[in-house]
Amino acid sequence: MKKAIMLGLVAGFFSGIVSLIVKNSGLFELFSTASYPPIINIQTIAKIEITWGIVWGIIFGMLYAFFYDYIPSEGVKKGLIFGLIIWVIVFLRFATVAAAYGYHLFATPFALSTFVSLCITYGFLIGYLYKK
Amino acid sequence: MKISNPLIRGFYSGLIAGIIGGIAFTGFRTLDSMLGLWAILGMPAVTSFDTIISVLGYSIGHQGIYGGIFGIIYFKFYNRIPGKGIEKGIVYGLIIGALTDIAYGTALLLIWVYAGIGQYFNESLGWIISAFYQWLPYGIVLGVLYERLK
Repeated sequence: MKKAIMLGLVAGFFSGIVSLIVKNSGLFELFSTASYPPIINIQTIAKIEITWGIVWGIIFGMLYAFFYDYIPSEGVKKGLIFGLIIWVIVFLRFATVAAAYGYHLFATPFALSTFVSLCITYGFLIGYLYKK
Repeated sequence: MKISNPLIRGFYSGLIAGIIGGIAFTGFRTLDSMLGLWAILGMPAVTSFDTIISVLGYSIGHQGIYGGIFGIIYFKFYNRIPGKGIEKGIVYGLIIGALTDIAYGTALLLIWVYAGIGQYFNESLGWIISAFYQWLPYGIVLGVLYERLK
């Protein structure tokens, strides 16, 4: 479990960085006419994204280790499947909630950008790094 | 009624649990608004007929759809979830609550911590409280139905 916590922390850190880049580099705007909400400066957004990534990266890492034998496939593929499951639970649902409240221009790019940061980046890293 | 296929059983149990979770969420949210607890957080009250119907429709819709999807995931990880019978459902409901509403609440809490915008503290508390309103009833119903339909 200690190993899963450490690897979750590392994967979460990089997932936070990718999330920051995707949401603030103009890629977010590629998916929609809405821009990423500029409520605060980039340094503060970086702190928020990375801290969230680390905290939840650790929790996701613990879940990955706990449910390891029940996740289909092996190695990197296992990590990507886990990333997909977590993305559906955490971010796809949030995007649906946001769209239901009328923020549909925000919901689509949000879902796609978090797919890159959580499902692909986090999933790939945890699958590649974690071996039982 | 029995459903032999565990995947289908998970889906239907989750769908029904989601609908009941949506109704429970609306009920708690209305009760909160009537007692004035939600106003402390500066969140919009759900007291008029229009707002209750709107929250009910939206909650049942999205909770039902995602309840079904999460029910399939429940079937997949069923053997590894701690507890027995209904306990498994409750634990699973709390895990889903943590991964959804509490995770969003944490993001808003971090905006409050780093940017000092007070409104986000209230909103984060709202999300965290909401997690228990909808996912605890969801877990209980899922746990009961999944066992009963065996």
